[in-house]
Amino acid sequence: MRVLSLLTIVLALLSARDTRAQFNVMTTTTDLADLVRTIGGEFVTVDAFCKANQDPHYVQTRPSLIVKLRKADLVVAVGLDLEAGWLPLVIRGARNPKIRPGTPGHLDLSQWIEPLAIPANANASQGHLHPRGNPHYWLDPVRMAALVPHIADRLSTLDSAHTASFKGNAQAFTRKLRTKIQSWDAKMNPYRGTEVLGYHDTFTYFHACYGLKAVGTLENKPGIPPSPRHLSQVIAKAKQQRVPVIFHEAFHDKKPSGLVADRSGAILLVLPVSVGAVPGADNYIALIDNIVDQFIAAMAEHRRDD
Amino acid sequence: MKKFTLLMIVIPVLVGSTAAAQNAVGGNSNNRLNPEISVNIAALGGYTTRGDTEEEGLLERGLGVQEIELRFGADADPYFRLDIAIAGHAHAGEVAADFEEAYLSTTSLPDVIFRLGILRPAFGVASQSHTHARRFINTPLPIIHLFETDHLIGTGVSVDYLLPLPFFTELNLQSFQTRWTRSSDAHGHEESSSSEGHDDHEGHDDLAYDFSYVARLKSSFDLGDATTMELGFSGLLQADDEHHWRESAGADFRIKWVPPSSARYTSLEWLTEYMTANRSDARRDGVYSGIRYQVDQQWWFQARGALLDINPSTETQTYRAETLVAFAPSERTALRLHYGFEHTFETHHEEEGEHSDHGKGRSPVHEVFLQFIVSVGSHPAHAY
Repeated sequence: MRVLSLLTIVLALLSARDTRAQFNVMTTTTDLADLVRTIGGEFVTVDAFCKANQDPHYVQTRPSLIVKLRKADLVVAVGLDLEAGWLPLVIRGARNPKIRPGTPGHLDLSQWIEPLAIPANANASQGHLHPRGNPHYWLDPVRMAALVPHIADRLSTLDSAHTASFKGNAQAFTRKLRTKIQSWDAKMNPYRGTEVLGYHDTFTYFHACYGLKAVGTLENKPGIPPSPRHLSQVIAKAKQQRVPVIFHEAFHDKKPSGLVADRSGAILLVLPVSVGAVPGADNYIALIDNIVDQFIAAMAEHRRDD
Repeated sequence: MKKFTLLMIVIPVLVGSTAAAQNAVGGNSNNRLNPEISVNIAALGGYTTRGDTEEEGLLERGLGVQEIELRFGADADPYFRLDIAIAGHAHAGEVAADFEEAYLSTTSLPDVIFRLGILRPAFGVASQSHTHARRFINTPLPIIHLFETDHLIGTGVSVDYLLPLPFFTELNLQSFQTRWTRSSDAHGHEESSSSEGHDDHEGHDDLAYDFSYVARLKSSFDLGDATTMELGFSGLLQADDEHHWRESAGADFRIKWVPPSSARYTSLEWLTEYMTANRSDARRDGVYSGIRYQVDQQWWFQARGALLDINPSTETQTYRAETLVAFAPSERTALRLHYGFEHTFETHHEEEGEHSDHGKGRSPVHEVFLQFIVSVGSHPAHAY
């Protein structure tokens, strides 16, 4: 009986600690976490499921994620089925009715995105396809800028006492981001039309934003590792079209991209995909800065080599 | 035969629906209201020196289908979700299909999930795995022998409660009833069979009921960004309608290492389960321990050892050693080669209460299986 009483007290204390917590937001990626943190400021506590250097398609549904989501007031997702393999399981396990899809506590940002690369005939023979379009839109700063007010609106809906702060932070960040977008546009403008390769189609939106032309991926099909035959074809194409750079995500196997780079003369660009993946890329603007600067440096190196 | 008919009706309907659902994705968004539908097929080829396989779906030699699983699930409304899994097996030349799971679960209650329907027991780790998701092709040795006469899938209720602790701790409580056929031969000897029973024996069949009560407590702790440790304790109490009680208990321990930056390329899992079961005639126990190491995106190497009847006072002891190599061309297909070696020793009781280790061994069993798993449609993610 004593043990039962003690257990009851401990559980009550732990529950009480939960209720005193701040407005808790869980995001699927660190990029979204950075945006929510910037907009929410001191009034929100934000954490991300996916580590900065992790492939967001393949997040392990560790039970600790369920514990984090159990206490959340809002979950923010990229959408377009990027998290389809793991987020539903975590949401279900969390037993938190506030954040189920369709509730105000569940924010799928893809609803305001016009997706690229919607497959005409989506079926599993085409690899790991996203039937509703490529989900990697966070690497397009213009699209991300358009999402900022929607995040502020949702925070305001759920925590109306701090609406003024959320709206103010959102406007300030949007101004800062638009200034940077102009700067990035100016830096990237000389490279419009440049043909590039990628390991996976992660940078589709970045390429579209800056007029880069993707001529192929090293993966045979999305999610399928490169075969020697496919790599030979890619190498031949890279040589023939004098492709200067290969965009490579840091969490993918570097060997195939390194091989293509060695054989074709292209520069291998190992890039961060999310905030925090490399030192210095500790916020969204710094992330895009890093990608832009690395690309420009690689193009300069390629020209010198030529 | 009824089960076979059910399978034959359900397969074309669901496969047709799957194709329709797939074609609809990305098109008419209204079709996203369709249930998630998937089909998993485990085809098997192999050879074993065992006289008779103890497990549904495993074959003595040649080629066969180990299991066809049809699964569909969807939210029914804002409050409930329906999940159904139907499994078809071939065993000893007969094909049968039955519900593996079919339950309604709550979706809108804080901290708890209630389930109502046909449930699998939340006992340990391996007993909750579906065939295509098992770490090895066969069931761990202790589970086959300790629970071979039990009826572990039944109709009932369960509650899964997530305790308000800073680390993951879940309490599962289940109660379910299983209907089965108690067959007696012409001499009055009793045997149990599946719910449909046999038609070709002399004697008589009686419907019997088992009532099962399951409790499981599972905790999980993160040991850094890559490593997770899980501990679980399970208890199972069963009684039939003649008040014969059976008690089982188990403990499991798992360490999983998945570095986030290379989660698709390398991982390591070590799982150990111990279980014990009291039956009317004896107490038996067993343990198995296995590791699974992913060496790159498509290749896994695994090894497992098991010991049945750890208690040296039992008449026999059995150990099994197994190894498996898996190649997964994509997320939806896998080819797995499994080799197992099993040996049973008869222990001698030279005098009452005295045990000798000089038991004579029965012929060892060697078995090799090659399994091909295919999954199509929208299959829900498996738990961590």
